[in-house]
Amino acid sequence: MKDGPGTTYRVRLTNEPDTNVTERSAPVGKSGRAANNARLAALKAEQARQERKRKVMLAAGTVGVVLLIVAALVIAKLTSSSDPAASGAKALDPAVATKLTTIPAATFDTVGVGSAVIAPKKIDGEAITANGLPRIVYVGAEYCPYCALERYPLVLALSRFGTFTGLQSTNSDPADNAGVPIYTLGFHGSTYTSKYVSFSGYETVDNTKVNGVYGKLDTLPDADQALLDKYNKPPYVDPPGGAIPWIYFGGKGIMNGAGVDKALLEGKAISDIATSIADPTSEVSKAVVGDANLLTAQICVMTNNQPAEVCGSSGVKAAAAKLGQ
Amino acid sequence: MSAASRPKPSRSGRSGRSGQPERPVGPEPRIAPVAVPPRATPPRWAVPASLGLCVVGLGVSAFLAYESATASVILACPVNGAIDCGKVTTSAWSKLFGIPVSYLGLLFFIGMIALCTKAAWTRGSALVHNLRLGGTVVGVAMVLYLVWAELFRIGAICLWCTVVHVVSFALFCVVLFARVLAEPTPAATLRR
Repeated sequence: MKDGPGTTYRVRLTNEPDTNVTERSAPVGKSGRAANNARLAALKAEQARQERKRKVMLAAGTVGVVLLIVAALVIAKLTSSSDPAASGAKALDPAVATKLTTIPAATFDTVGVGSAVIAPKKIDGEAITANGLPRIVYVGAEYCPYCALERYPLVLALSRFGTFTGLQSTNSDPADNAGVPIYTLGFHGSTYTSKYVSFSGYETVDNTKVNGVYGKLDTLPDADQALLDKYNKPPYVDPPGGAIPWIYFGGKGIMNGAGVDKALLEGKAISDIATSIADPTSEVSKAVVGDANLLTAQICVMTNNQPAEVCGSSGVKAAAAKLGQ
Repeated sequence: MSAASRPKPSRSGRSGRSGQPERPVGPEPRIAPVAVPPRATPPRWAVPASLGLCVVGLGVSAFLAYESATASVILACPVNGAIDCGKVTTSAWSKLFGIPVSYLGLLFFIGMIALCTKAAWTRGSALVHNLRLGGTVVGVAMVLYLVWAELFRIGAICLWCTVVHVVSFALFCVVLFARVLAEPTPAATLRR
């Protein structure tokens, strides 16, 4: 075949950058040119089919991955014995415990009453003591979100009169608070020592339902159960059926419910809450420390204002005025 | 060997497909390359399927958004522990960055309707096609997040929300496969 101008055509397929057949010389003549084009068209079609097949497989794989993720979530849920957020209590991180139980007096004084929403109510009830010390009885439960809220100020207040050991880290049942747990402290298994007051903290059940029932934790002694039955109802507290958390201050004061706005602590880690409490300018501190000052003022009523450095502090005095005692 | 018959490299400096040097050609090509922007025709089912799913998703999202805005309790959803629409739609997980998820769903389907019209499918730019696919990917990611929240944080399933989740996933499938199966319009032409 002779080569030369006018006898050959150069065909370039610019839309197929990936193909190796980017340039090709075609034989001379109309029939040869047509055959060449046909072969090229067939090659293009085959490449297009292969490319489409590859893309379809890729797309199917992507869809499959999404379905696998959903299936894995469902299987994990069905096979898990309990919700991680609703797991049982464990020992509180010592660093966090120290931070919560050693809030500086200046922080208490700076906050004063803060934004605490309720205060203990004065009663003339049955005086209870232990080893000659006026007793405080707390009754709550780990699943209970309001108990979770109130434990913070209660621990802060009691830590001004004595020392906790064995405080737990737990959370309320998310299912009891629209899916959001409140991470908190727990009294189950803890001890409290003080030369001013005695404290009994009962967590009646845990935060995990098994067959629709929470697991039992602390059982109240008969005397304390009788106390609860008698004073956890009107006219001492609302509502008629009683409520937890319930705190009895040696016959001089009583409180149920939480003095801290739930929205402030929902879903937050205990360590973050502890950090916020230590900052008197934070909303969390204003609520928790303010509530703690109210509880402290109530305890001071029981201890005849001892110790003086606590009961005579400006924050406690401000809270005592709100107590009306 | 004369100069006329001596093998010469191609203009690209590469050999032909066979690995052999190209045959010599004339001084100027008789046919020049013409670049044409690639276009693709979506499958015939793409427009009605995607639009239909968007309309269903928009309707259910609008209903959930209305429920969220009015704190209504007319959610026709059985409550038997595992299924509890009210528990889901009033939980803290029903908002993202303070915005009710149902509002986000509503905006999502409004946007997807605009991206799934016939004009958008057939005459839309590459940006439109990428936005459509990207939107459904975001939608599926959101669905996975919400399913996780329902199962592991709220402890309840909302049937109405599940309808939206299924529609979002189906829309993702439709958009993805429509893109893959789109018929390419010939992008190269031969012009003398």
